[in-house]
Amino acid sequence: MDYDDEARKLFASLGLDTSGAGKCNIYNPMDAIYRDAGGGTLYVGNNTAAQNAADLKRHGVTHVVNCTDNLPLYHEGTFRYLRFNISFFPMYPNLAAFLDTLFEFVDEALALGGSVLVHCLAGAHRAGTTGCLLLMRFMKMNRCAARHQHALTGPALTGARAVRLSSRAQSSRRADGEEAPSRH
Amino acid sequence: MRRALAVQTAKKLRPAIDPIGRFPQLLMAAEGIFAAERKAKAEALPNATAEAAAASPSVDVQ
Repeated sequence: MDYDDEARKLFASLGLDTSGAGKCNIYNPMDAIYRDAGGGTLYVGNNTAAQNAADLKRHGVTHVVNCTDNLPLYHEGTFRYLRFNISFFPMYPNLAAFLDTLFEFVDEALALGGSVLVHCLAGAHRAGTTGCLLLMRFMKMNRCAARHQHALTGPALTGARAVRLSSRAQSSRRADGEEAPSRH
Repeated sequence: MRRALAVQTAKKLRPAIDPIGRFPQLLMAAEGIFAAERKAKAEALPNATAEAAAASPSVDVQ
């Protein structure tokens, strides 16, 4: 599957140009999907977000996961980078070791209180799946978390509101005596 | 379930997220890896507790 092509199809369906630039009220360059207890935030975004160093700094991003094999590491020297070629996963005989490179990189960022942007071209398929992997690892997906997430209805939740709601869910889980999101 | 919930959660926060192609297979495999890790940890915990108890010196109460 050509994920770049899929990204361009998404852009076309949203009325954006082939690079994803333009305005769309249901699609942002990046969105927060997880807030760590240490203060760091995990963002999933697109190529536009990855190019905007000023915006990344404003969001506290210190580490960037590039989920493509062809987009540049735009700001080496400013942010720490991991190239995580997720679409190549079938070629890795040891999937656990392949995933560990991602988890160790994100662990390091969050341990330092930094935030992470996970991106590809559209921030939908490759980076989106990587974000799901990270959610599976960092959040203890349980019924309580699901209950909180079911409350997140209506328009797309982005940025500060998403982080607040995610943090609230974590606080509630701790209050319920459940394990807080963990870093291994 | 965990895999489905992670995707559902992520999509609520960023609706564009869409694991397509072979990515559902990857998520399923990852779920298996996480489950094996949890099982290994759970099995190691009682063993570690028993070993620690056996290794701790006895205390005579007078």
